[in-house]
Order: sequence, then structure tokens, then C-alpha cells
Amino acid sequence: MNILDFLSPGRARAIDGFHPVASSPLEQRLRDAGATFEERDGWLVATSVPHEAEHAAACGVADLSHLGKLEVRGAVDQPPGATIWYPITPERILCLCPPWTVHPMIDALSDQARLVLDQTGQLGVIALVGPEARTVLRRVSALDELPASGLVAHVAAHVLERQGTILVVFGQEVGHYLWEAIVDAAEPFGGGPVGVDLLGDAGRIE
Amino acid sequence: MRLGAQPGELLDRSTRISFQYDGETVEAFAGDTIASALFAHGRRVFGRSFKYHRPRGLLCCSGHCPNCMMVVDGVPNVRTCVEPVRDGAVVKGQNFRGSLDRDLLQITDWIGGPFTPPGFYYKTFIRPRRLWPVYEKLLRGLAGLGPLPEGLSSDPADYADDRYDVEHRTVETLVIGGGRSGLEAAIAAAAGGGRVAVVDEAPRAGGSLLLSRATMGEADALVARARAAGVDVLAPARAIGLYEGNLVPVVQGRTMLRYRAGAVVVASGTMDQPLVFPGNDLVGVMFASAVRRLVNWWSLRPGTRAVVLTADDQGHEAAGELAAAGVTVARVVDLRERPTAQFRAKGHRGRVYAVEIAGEQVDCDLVVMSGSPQPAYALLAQAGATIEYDERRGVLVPTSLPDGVQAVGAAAGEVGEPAVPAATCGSGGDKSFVCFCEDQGAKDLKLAIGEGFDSIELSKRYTTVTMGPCQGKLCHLNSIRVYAKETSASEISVGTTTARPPWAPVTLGMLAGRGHTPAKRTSIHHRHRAAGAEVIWTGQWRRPLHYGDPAGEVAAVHQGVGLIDVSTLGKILVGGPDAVEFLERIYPNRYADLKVGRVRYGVLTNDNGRIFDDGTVVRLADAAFYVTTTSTGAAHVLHWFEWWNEIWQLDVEIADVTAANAAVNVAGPRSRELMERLVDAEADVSNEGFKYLDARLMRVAGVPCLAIRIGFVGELGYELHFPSPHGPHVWDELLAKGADLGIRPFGLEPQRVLRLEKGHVIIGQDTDAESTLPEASMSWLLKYEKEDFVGRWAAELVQERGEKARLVGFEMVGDVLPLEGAQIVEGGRSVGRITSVRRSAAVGKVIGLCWVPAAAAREGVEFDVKVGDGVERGVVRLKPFYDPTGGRLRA
Repeated sequence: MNILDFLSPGRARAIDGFHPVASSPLEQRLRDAGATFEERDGWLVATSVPHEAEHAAACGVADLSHLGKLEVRGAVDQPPGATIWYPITPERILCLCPPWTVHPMIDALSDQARLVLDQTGQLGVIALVGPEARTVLRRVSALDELPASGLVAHVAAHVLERQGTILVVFGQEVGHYLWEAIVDAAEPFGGGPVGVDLLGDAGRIE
Repeated sequence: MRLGAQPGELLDRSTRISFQYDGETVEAFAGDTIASALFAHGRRVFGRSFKYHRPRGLLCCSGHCPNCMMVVDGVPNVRTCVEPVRDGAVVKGQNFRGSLDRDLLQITDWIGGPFTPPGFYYKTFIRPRRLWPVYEKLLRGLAGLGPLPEGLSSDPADYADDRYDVEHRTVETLVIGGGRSGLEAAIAAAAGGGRVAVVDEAPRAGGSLLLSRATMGEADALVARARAAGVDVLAPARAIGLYEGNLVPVVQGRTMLRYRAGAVVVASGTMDQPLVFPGNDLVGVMFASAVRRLVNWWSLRPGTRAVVLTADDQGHEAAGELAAAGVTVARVVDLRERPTAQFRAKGHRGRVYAVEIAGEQVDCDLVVMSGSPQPAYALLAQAGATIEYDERRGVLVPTSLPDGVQAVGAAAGEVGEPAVPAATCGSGGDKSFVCFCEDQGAKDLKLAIGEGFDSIELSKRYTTVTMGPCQGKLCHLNSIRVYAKETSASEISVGTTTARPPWAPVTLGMLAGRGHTPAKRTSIHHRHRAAGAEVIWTGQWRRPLHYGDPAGEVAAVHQGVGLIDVSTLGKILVGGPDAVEFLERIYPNRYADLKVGRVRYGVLTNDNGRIFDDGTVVRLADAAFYVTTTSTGAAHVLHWFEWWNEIWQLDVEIADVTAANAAVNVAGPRSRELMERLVDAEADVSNEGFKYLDARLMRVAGVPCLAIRIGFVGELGYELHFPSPHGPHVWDELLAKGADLGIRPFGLEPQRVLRLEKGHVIIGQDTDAESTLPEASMSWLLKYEKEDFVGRWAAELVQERGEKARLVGFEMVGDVLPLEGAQIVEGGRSVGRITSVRRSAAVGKVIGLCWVPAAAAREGVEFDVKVGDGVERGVVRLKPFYDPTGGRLRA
């Protein structure tokens, strides 16, 4: 094993009768919402949620924590496959990518970067879609111009935007709390949880 | 009293709404306010004044004065003149004993005057002193405005649906006030590009254009033009402050819109000002704008016979509209033509029936007053504008503005040429009120001046003028005039009081917004919940205290195998060519000689040598280390590392991976057996292949782990660090495969007992901000042979001056369990304290850690511990209570 493999959920293997499946920090909240789950790329993913179409008509709140996330340090150009490349500073970049591309990406970046760290387990991702997505974001954060980093519901987060979908990236340990805060903010508009399949291309980071 | 349908009225007569007032059903139309509906229903008395309990009727109809405050659906102090009607609402009067129409407490008006001057509670009710408790109870019972809702719960969860929201908005230009000037400014700003918003506190934008049917169309056209230009027009939406950085909180319904604006345009128009004359608060005395709203918005006839007293054109406009509505206008007195006119209103049972003008009595049931129109400058003043008195026009106007703030229209001082009313326009008869909120009259202000409160700021605090619900909107200008007159000074030299937010009263719920309590949870959290854990807060973390049987959990660790979630530990990667040098400098002990695959305990001290965190350091590779910290100290340690490296500029990468990894501690004599069942074939967990203080990479249940052989709880143990998303999987597999080994999850309470048996310290509990390494019995960590390290100087100083106190283990002579924090006493004086104490079944004693004087830090020394009112004996023990040789850890 590589010395940092113990940080990478993608390095788990189904061996010796064990079948490791990665869980999102938001899994329990989605279970509470009655979500249907499927195993995808080693992750248990909430694919659909009751009433999700109604929620999405206002503000759908989806869990994309299974996405790959890398922290890249150094003056590095965006490689192919890095769907979202967010320079937090000129030499510190947050990269979001499909989960199966994490390790090829690490290998590809290692030559240029001072450090490439798999932050897939460290960070969770909540996606907001729908006509009220921006309003819901404004109910929990003062961040305006995206992408931006700052407080969302009083906890540190990065807020990104892709094809009209707002992505809130946060430390996974506050995931339950942040999910509650965002869903609560969405509720007055008729918003609520949705599964990843409802997002279609907009929510798919591929 | 309700007129037929009028052009421009706000009513939707096709939609009927009913609500309850004092048990009676009141019918209304959509578009009515509660006050307009009650007025149509025949109600004239809407409130009782604060001190004298005088009946008060509608005065401003714009949500500024205190007269119409009522209890609506249990919420007190609702200004019913701007509160829309809603079906099924329950409305009650407030601030009376009896009824709104017959209030027993009005006796204070009839006979209480001499007893209730300004500051009366310091004067009238101080003798005889023995009666003060009676006075106090009486005064407290009468004080305050409005009742709290009945049956209030102390549980916040009961108010979860009673929500207030906050919404952050950013615009290039925010215009406060949706009158002609404001809308035109917004349209101009929108033409320049960028986001523009207009907020107006009235039910709809249009400002004073809406007061006249003739100009309502112009208002609607302007609003339409603004919207077409992309301007976001919000009404009703009230700006309550103008803060630094052009932060403007705007209340819209139950949402606080926090605007950040590049530029703020204040177009807040004017505030109606009362004239000060005897009986100016009688029911039936109204502002001209209020009368116009009643007639033009809600199609109400405010009276049958009116007298108009005016300093500007608005009185004439109101007179014309009243006449058109069928009201007889008996007299119009224009102060521009008769600047010295004297008048007083006469009333019966609090209602006006006549006005005496220069000795001539004119019968009426409505008095329309329009003092000089005062620019609504409060928000400008809050932002730092200079406000000065314009002697010619008798109003306060902004004369300089801060950067990024503009004033337009009437708010900027464009109020025409009104008359300057006298400080008091009449004498004799009834009271002449300057402050309607606090029941302060011109006489009260004179009295305050006579008592030496001759500064307007001092007077404000003494008389409370401008401190009531209107916050000076109706009384500030008149109080300045009275002060100027009584002190023979000019209004300019009297000056103004400080304008502070909020511009209008706002509920505490609105200020608080939606309640958010950030909480951190490990990826295994819900497994603990499912297992029945009692979960507590530790810092921001939610952690299991125990799973219902702390003693049994301790026993499982000693006898079989236990499992604790320690994912909350801080975790930091330190890597790069200078990683060793960095750790050598920041820790007092050595890391250059730490071999790859080994772990070492580390304590961090600040520059003054005070202990602030501890943890372990694993050497992953020659130039890569994995550092753990305490659960609550992770962020501090990370910042500490980054801060020092900014100074040292070493070639080091420091990365926080606290949340990336879950961590569990598998501890107990059978933990190796359990590990053997879960690790992959290549992993060797034998004592020879994986020794105490070794660290190994291996798969556990298929998941890549960093396994560390350490033992905070004193038994053979493996601390497993692995990707957080696999927390539930690894936890489940450990429990499943360890079932026959007697595995049990254990929480913080068992952990505290177990670590105490080993004498292991918890930083922050057993140490404080004064604790140094030598005094915490950790001198063995200080490696003075190193060139330098953070805190070295302080440690040497302690060595030089000698130790004052020491952290040691102790056991109680008896079976008494002192409190943590209990004092160690000598001759009745406190000389130390207990920091941790538990009853240990394994040791068979009450054991703990405590600070004692350095001289007493010797094996077997006895001391007294304060327990309740007495003392109990404790004995110093310098070795671990359990497995003192560490044989079980190394097994």
C-alpha cells in the first residue's frame, strides 16, 4: 500500500469475505427521508427520494458526497477529467472528479504538484438545484459571487456552481448538521431532499 | 362609516375576511389592516397610553406611533394600522385594567399628575422606605407594554415552527424608500447595470404619491418602469438600520433580508410631526397623512366634522379629500398665515368634541394636524451623516453624507417651505404632549430642565422622550423646540440625540433568525445511537458517554475486548524535506530518531511553556508524519503549526485530515484475536511482528488502515485510522467478528476510568493554562540536548525557580468519592485540587489525579481533601494504579 492509502476510500477492496461499501456522512438523513440507495463505484448512493420531483420544482437538495475530491498544492494546470477545478488560492486547488478517477488523477498530478491529497473522505458535497436554489443558499450564507469559500450555516465550506447546480463542499463531520440546516431553509419554498438520479447531467460530475 | 368603492382603494371587496376582537367577530375586506377594519367596525379607542392610561385613537396609520398597538394572536405590541387582516386572527387590546374604553388605571391621568413627574420612581415612591417593596410590586405590575403570551414554554423545540429566517442579498444599489425620488433613483441606477433593489415600508411602493388618488397612477407607472428596468421592488419591507459597509437589514414579513450594497440611496421621505397643544392626543386628533390613508386606501370616513391645523400644504390636501368624502371641514388654520395661532382641543371621555382657536370654540369630532414635515434622516444619521437644524424651515436636514450613501427627495431636505410651528401652540386645559409613547408633556420637559437636565442627551435618559416605541419619530423635533425655548438657546445649539438602530421596533426572534447549532458527528455516530448510547457534547462534537452500562464496558476492556470511536481526534499530515526539523522545533521531545513505522507520544506547549495539547506522532516515511491531537484541540494545533511555519519558512506541507479518517480503538486482552480475524493475509499482528508503539499499514475488513499499537486505556490495543466513509463498515465488522470474544462498544465515561487507572492525563482537564511539563510530571519529554524548541526558555525557567506544584496520582484512604475540582486543604487553606477522580473496580479504590504542593509530591504522602463540610484523607501515588509495569500493554 502507498503510505497515504489509509486516507483513500477508493483503496478499499472486497477481499477475504469483506465487502466494504463507503457511506456518505448524510446517509442517515437520507434514510430518514425514505431514500432508495444503490451501490455505485463502491459507495452507497441515494438515487431517489419520495416527493423529489415536487422538491426539485423549488429547490432539490441532493447528496453528492461520493464524488472524488482532491486537494492539490502547487502551480498546477487543470488536467483532463478534473470536472471542477477550484483554485482556493493560486497554489491550493480543490478538484472534484468522478470517484473512479481519483487515483489516476493523483498519479497524473503527482509530478507537477507539491502535494496531492485524496480528500474524498474528508469532504461532503450537497447539491442544490431548482429555481429557488440561490435563495436557499442566501438563507444560509452571505457568499454571493461563486465560487467562494466561507461560512454556510456558520460552518466553513466551499460553494461552487456548475451548470446551474450549486455545490456546497464541507467537512464531512458537520454533514448531518449542514444537511438539516439547508433542508430546513428549503422547506418554506417547498424544497427538500432529492436523489442523485433526478439531477441528470447537471448533477453528474463526469 | 365605510365609503362606497373608491378608485385606487387597497381593498378587494370580493374577498371577505373575518377575525375576532375581544370575542366579537369583525368583518373586513382583503387589503384592510386590522386597524382599518376595526375603525370601519366602529372602534375609535385603539390603545391606552403608557403612563396616564389615556385613551388613544389612530394617529399616524403608518406604523410609527404607539397608539394602535394591540395583541394579535398572542403577540403583544403589534401595530395594527399596518398589520394586514387575516382570517381567524384573535385580536385584543392591551395596557388596561377593565377594557380599552373604560380603563381603571386612567385614575393616574386624573389624580396622578403630581405623583408622576419625570423620574417619579426616584422621587414619589421612596418614602416611607419600608413601603418600597409594596411600591416596587405595584410599579412593576404596571410597567411594560403588552402581556407576554400565556403558557410560554421554555423548550426551544416548542417554537420550531415559529420561524424567522435570514436571507443575505448583495446588490450594487439599494434604495430605501419607494416614493417618486426613490423609484427614479433606482431606475437611473439600473440603467447603469448591476442589481438594484428598492425597499419600502408601506404596503406598496409609491410613497407620498399614493396619498392622493390623483397621483396613485403615477406611482403605479413608476413602479412598473422600475420593474421593467430590472429593479427588485419590495413592499412592505422596512429597512431598520444602515450599518458600516452599507449593510442594511430589511424586515420583510418574518424574514430579515441582510442587504450588502455598493451604494445606498436613502429616499425615506418625511415623518409627520404633531403640533404641541393642549389635548393633542385626544381620540380624533390625527395626522393629515393618516386621514388621507383612511380615506384613499381603505375608503373610510374618519369623522363627520373636521378642523385642520397645518404648517404645510398637506393639511389643505387632506381637507379637500375629507370634503370629497362627505366630511364637513369646519375650519382650516394654516400656520404659514397665522404663525402665532393658539389652540386647544377639548374632549369628553378622551374623545375630541371641539377645538378652541384663539378663544373661539369650533365643534368637531376630527382634528387633522400637520406639523412641519420632518425629513426621515435617522438611517442617514446612523450611517454617519451630519444632521443640522434648518432654522428657516424648522426641520433637521442632512448636510453631509458618508461615502457610498446618498440622500434624495424629501429625505435630503426637499420639503418645500413649511411654517415653523412654535414649541407649544397653546396653553391651559388638557395636557400638551411632546412624547406620545412615554406620556411626556411640555411641562415635564420644563421640569427636567429645571432639575438640571439641560442637555438633550441627558434629558432623553431622564424623561425617556424619544426612547419609546416610536423611537423619536414623532417627538424628537418637538423636544428640541421645547428645549430651545425653555433654555433660551437656538435649536442648533440644542443639537440632536444619537440615532441608533433599529429604525423601528423589531422582534427578538427576527434578530436571532433561524437557530443553528453546528454539531460535529463522526461517520459512526448513528451506530452509537442505534446501540443506545447516551450522547453528550464535547466541544462541538457529539460523542457517546456510555452505552448504558459504564462499569460493564470497563470490564469488557479489561477482560475481553472493547471498541471506542475516537474519530474525533485531530489528525494532521506533516510532510516534506524539513518535516523532521519542523517537529523537532515544535515539540519538546525528539522526532529525528523516531524510526519509520514507530509512534511516539508528544505534548505541545506554548511559548511560555504552558501545556495546551497532546497526541501521538507516527513516522510514515522518512519525510512524512501523521500527527494526532486531542479532539477539541485539532483546529488550534493546526493553526499553531501553520503559524510557526510562517515564521520558520521550512519546506513542509501541513494538511488537516481530521475528518478524512475515522478512528477506532480496539482494546483488551483479546483484541489481537479480533484483529487476526479482520486483517489481510499479509498483515502480521503478532507481538513480534507488531510491537507496542509500532504503526503499520494494513487492510482491516478490506479497508486500508493505519494501525497504531498504543494504549490510552491500559490494555493491549490497536488504534485504527481509516477513511471516514468506511466507518460504519469497519465498526460493524469489528463488532460482528468480536461477538464471541465478548466485544462491547465503550464510551467516554469508561474511557475516563480506564485511563485514570493508568494515570494518563487528559489535557485541559488535568492541566490548565498554568501547567508546565515539569510540574505536570512530564519532565521526561524535555530534551534539552536539542538546539531549541517552542517553550524551552520557559521550561528552563521553571527548572531554575523550582516547581511550585505537581500533578500526581492519588487514592482515597476511605471509599469516599470527592468531586472533581475538590480542594486539597492544609490548615484550612487550599493548597491544591483534584482534577480527575473515579471509583475503579479493577483497582478496588477511589483513584484520581490531583495537583499538590511540590514538596508533597512524594509516594505515600497523605493530604486532606474537602468533601462536603468535612475533609477526607488521600494518599499520593506516583505509579500507575493498574498494570504498573505495562506488561498488559506490551503483551
